[in-house]
Order: sequence, then C-alpha cells, then structure tokens
Amino acid sequence: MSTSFVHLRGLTTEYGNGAGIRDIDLEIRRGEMLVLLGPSGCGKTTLLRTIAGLAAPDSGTVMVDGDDITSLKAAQRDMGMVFQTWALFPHLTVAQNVAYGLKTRRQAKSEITKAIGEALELVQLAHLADRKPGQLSGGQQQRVALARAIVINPRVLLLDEPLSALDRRIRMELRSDLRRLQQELGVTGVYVTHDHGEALALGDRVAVMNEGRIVEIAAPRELFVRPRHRFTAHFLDAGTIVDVDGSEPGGALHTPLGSIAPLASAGEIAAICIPADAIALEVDGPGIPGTVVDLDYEQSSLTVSVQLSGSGILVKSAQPLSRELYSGQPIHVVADLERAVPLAS
Amino acid sequence: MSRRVPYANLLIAIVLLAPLAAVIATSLNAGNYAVFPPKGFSLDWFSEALGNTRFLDALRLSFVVAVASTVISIVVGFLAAYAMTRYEYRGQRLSQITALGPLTVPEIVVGLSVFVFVALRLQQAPSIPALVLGHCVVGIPIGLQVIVATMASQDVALEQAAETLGASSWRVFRTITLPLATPGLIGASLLVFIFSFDNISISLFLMPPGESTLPVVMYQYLDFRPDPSIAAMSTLLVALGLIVFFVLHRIGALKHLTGSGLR
Repeated sequence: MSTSFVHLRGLTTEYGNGAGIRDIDLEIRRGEMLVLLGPSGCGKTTLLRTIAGLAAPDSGTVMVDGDDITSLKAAQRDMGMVFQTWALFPHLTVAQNVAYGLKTRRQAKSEITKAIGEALELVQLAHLADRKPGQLSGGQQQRVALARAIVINPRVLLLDEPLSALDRRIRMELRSDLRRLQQELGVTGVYVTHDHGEALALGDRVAVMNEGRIVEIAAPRELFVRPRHRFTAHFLDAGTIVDVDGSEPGGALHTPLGSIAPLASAGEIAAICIPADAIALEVDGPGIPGTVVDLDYEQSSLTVSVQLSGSGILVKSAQPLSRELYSGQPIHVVADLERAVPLAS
Repeated sequence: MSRRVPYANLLIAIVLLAPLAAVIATSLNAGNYAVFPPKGFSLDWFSEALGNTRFLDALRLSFVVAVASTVISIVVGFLAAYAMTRYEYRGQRLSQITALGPLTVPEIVVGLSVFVFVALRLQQAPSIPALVLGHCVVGIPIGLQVIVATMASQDVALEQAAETLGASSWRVFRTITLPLATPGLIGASLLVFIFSFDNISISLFLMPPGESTLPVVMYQYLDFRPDPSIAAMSTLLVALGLIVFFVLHRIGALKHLTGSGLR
C-alpha cells in the first residue's frame, strides 16, 4: 500500500525560455510539508502551478488521493494557493477576501460567517476583518492570504515563496507560525522557496530542483549534512567540493586534498564535499600550503577561504571568531577526509 | 519637504486656463457684442443661449452621439484590451500597434474615409449611425489605450487566486477583473465622451442632413452673429465639464489618466 497522497508521474512542461519541468516523478505523503527548493528558473514554481492547475503539462499525470485530476481546471481542484505577491483582492475587505472561496462553493451565509471567524482567529487577524488589504502590513497581508487558502479546507495547500517579500524578522516569525498551523490542521502542503533556512524550518522533506528536474529528495537535515549530489552540496553551500581525480579498482579515491579509503556508497562518486568545520588551518605546517584570500565574518562564525598553492582550489574553513588571520597570509590546510561526503555528479 | 510656491505649476495653469477665463468673462457682457474685457455685467446671454433652439437641438444631437460613441468604444475597447492583456496569440504586438493607428491619422482624413465608406460602399447618406461610427473609429483607440494601461497594471495572480478558490471564468471576470478595471473604464469613458462631444472635423463629413452637432452649430453661429451667447454656451459646457471632472476625481477614477499624480 502506498502512503502517497499526491502522485505526480512523468510531468513535463516545456517553455520557450527553458524554465519548464522535465519528467517529474514525485510522491507527496498525506499531511506532510514538502519543500521544493532550488535556484530561480529551476522549475519549482512551474511544478507548483502544474499541481494547482494554473499551468497545463505537456505530458504526465497529477493524481490526488487516487483521482486523476490532470484535466481538471484550477477552479475544480480544491487546492488552496498562497501566491508570492499574496494576490489579495484589493477591492474587498479582509473578511470578503477570506469568504471568496466559500461563496464560490455556495455555502450557507451563517456557515461562511462562522468559517471566516475561525480562519481569521487562526491567523490572529479577527480584529482586522473589515480592513482593506491596502491598510495592512506585509505580514498581516500574508496571513490573510493564508487564511483565504486554508478556509476552503483544501486537499493540498500550495505556497509559492509566500514569505520572500517580507522583512527578515517577520519572515522568521511567520515561518514558525506557518509550520505550526500546517501541522495542527494536518493539511498536505507543498512549499516553494529558494531559501535554505525556510526549507530546513518548514519541510518534512525537501526536494532539491535544478534545470526542471528533481535532483534529490530527503529530510532537510539529512540533505544539509549528507547531500548526495554535487548540485545539492553546491546549492546548499555544504562545504568545499573537490573532484575525484581517479580511483583504483575497489581501492582508494584520489583527490587534490589527499586520498581516502573506498566509501561504502553505491554508485559512481564524482566528487567529495568536505564540511567547513572538517578543515583545519595550521599556521606552521603540516598540511597543504595555501594563502588566505577571504575572511567572511558572520554573527557567530568566521568562514575563511584559502586558495591552495599548487592546484588553485578554493577551500572553505570554519574558524572561531577569535581566530586572528589576515588576507594574504600563508597557511596550511589539513582536511579531515574521514568526514568527507561522497557526491554523485 | 520644503513648502515652496510651485511657480512652474502656477505658470502652466495660468497659460492653460487664461483662454477659458476670457471666454467666461465675455459671457458676462452686458452689451450686444462679444468683447473682452466685458462691458458691464449681465446673465442675459445665458438665458439667450438656453433659449436658442438651434443650440438645444445641437446639444441634444451631440449628447446622443457622444453617449453612443462612448458606450460602443468602451465595450469594444474593453474586450480588445482583455484579449491583449490576458491572452497570448499570434500577431499580438502587431494588433496592439495597429489598434492605435487611427490616433496617428489626421481626424479630417478619418472623417473623409468614413464618409467615403458610408456613401460609396454602403450607399447611405450621412446619418446619426454614420456619425457614431466615425467617432468610434477614433474613440475605440482612445478608450483602448487607457483600458490596456489599467489592465496591464493589474497583477494576473489576482485572477489566478480567484480561480484556485473555485471561481468559474465568468465569476472571476465579474467579481475580480471588472471591478478592478472600473476606474480605468470610467476614465476612458470620460476621454472618449469629451473627444466625441467637441469633435468638429469628423462630424463635418457625417452629420445627417439638416442637423448639426453643437461644436459645428457654435462655429457657424459665430460667423453671422458674434454676440456673447456663444460664450455663455461655452461657459456652461466648461462648468459641466468641471463638475464631471470633480465627481470622477472624488471617486478615484482619474488615477489611470494621470499615472498616480492626482490623489
């Protein structure tokens, strides 16, 4: 028995500009929040719109709970969608916005009033029911959009970068609210973002996308700690990626940072990723000689970029803020290859 | 913000409005001739103008033609604008450009063309429908311009959001597209109405025999009786225009004509 609630098979949508999706197979479990993560133009929004029925696929099927809904229009799909721009109706009040989807379903007036009240209560905006969207802050508008999408009891809640237009502080606040709400309601969600933090905080699983395809799917922590593909490691900035120069049959892998014992991973290994905290910097040997080329200070960490003398490879190392280094300083790099993560191309 | 006197704006306003002031002053003349500055003060010429049946008949014709031209131009313009902003089709760009074509042709040529079409092709004498047709040839592109600007500035996600909420195409149009386009439609109507109401060059070719529109009658009247009643009539039209403009401004329908300058 399959636990998948939404089932996408062979979905392909070609656009002239190349931002389409190619042969997507994806299963989304009932009640989970699946994050589609990737750079702009990777097809994540197209995929979301295809599920919503706002984009028609060239081929493939969209199934929800066993029903093939590929040929249904957006209006018949029972999907709640939150848009990047929130798309609140500017000529309607907050309450009327939330009521919109209920009125199209011809529910009784008393039921609508009750449902609006509950939905606005849920997003803590009951006191603003009579305002127009233009009179609300960005965060409040976002919550109205969310209330409008969930009040119709959607089969799937679709979110297209709903927080990207907000200030950082409000974004953090809303994303934990969003997560809590989705879990309380038990609604199946698909969340599109290019933000790693949002993917980590919101996703039960994260699908990394690139060039119209899904590169890999995993639980967020798994993805960040043990990416399996070069693109994922690169996009998530998981560490220094170095190519494998060659391997002996059944033997060691050779890389510019040294050789490592064969890894138990299945499949071909094209590169390895070394986390920044697995790379030590020694002022006086041992290690591979290089030069400090950049110091990137953040709130709680220092990332040092070192260019290796021979190969010219750029290596990133995490150091305590107290470490005193300067740009141009000769240094030696010692990589703990035991902690290297193997990557497929 | 410093609160300096906006001299430039004042100057522009004076230059633009000075002729109007002269006309209004002239209409208040007590004498028999339209002179400026006026000699004496009287409102007699207003009653003279409103008692002139030629004026009133012409006013009625102008009003009927302007209303008909406006309604047709806005309906056609709205449908065309909807297609141009909500669909993708072959030759879209070309259709947008050619639809504005009549605005680049001298109106006298438009008038002549429609006359030729009506007289030679349809074998009809000039008539009110012909007059309305002539006004629509320019009225549609005027309306189209404003309505396209309004509709192109709308976020299409609004209509898509309504769709995902279960609304049929017709319901989306009725509850979202139309209400949001309304200020633009009102603004466009205003422009087309004014264009039609004070048009001379197209009307000259297409007026039904024995009838004339108000601008034409006023022009002809001036030729043989240059008394202030013509100025009084003009003043009434200015007043009417100002009232309409004020009302539209209050309901926020003019934003689409001025960018966002008027608030």
